[in-house]
Amino acid sequence: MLKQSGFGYYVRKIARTWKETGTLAHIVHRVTGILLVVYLGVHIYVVTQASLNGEGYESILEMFRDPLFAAGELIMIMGGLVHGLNGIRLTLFDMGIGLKHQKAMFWAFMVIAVAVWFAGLAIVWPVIGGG
Amino acid sequence: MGAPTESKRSMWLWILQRVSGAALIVLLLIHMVVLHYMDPHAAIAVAEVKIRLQGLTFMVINNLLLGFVIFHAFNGVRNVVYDYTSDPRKRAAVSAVLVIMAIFLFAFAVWAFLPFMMG
Ligand code: HEM
Repeated sequence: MLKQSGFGYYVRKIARTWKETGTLAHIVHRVTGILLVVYLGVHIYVVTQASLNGEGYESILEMFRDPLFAAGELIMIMGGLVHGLNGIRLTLFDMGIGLKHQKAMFWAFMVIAVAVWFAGLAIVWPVIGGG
Repeated sequence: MGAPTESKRSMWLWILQRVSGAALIVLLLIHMVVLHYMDPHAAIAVAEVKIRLQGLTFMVINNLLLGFVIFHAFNGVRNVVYDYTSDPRKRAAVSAVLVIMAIFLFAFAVWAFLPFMMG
């Protein structure tokens, strides 16, 4: 009998069901969660330089003006929005709210994520657009 | 995913993952608006960070954010690993490493900003 847990089981299950919205949401939540953890590590390192090494911090800020870094930060903001909003969705289900509309709520929350992302972009555009 | 069956500790961690997630919505919103969106033209200068951290409100908000986000991130990684292995010894070893890393990261960040908070 196949084991009902472990890495192989997990991968087989994902491979079998990835086309379903629920599995897609799970993959998206996991990938964004891990990206955010990596970002958190980098972020704490960079920000603590403000106190530990003022000049080093200023030179990192300089580096972040590069469009490539701006793009990276915009991707992280999208990741945070998608993860956070889907996290709200999952927590609502755990409280018994919205269980009949799981798929619709996934897409609705993703639409909200994109809308908020564009609103944020509009605010910072004068700066990163070189204005 | 789903409700825990393993133990009382797992259940508490499961609840705290949701509680910290909810707290992060509020704290991250404050973090992003205050630091990046209220005045998008201002690069975040060292002096400003220092002044902000000396006020009690931001000292509390920032340290709460730090604590919640580190708990949520490392407990999240634990959940991922638990999905990939059911071997209790591997699970215990990974948990121990994650706890040490989380405590170290929290202590390091607080220590790094202590001079700012103390003025
Ligand atoms: C913005 C607010 C956030 C909310 C509402 C939120 C919500 C959640 C929830 C409910 C889960 C549990 C999912 C489950 O067990 O099925 C989760 C998992 C996770 N979160 Fe968050 N989260 C937020 C921010 C963050 C941040 C900032 C990070 C990283 C620093 C992060 C990293 C993770 C990781 C690694 C997981 C585990 C992923 C998995 O089990 O697949 N989250 N989040």
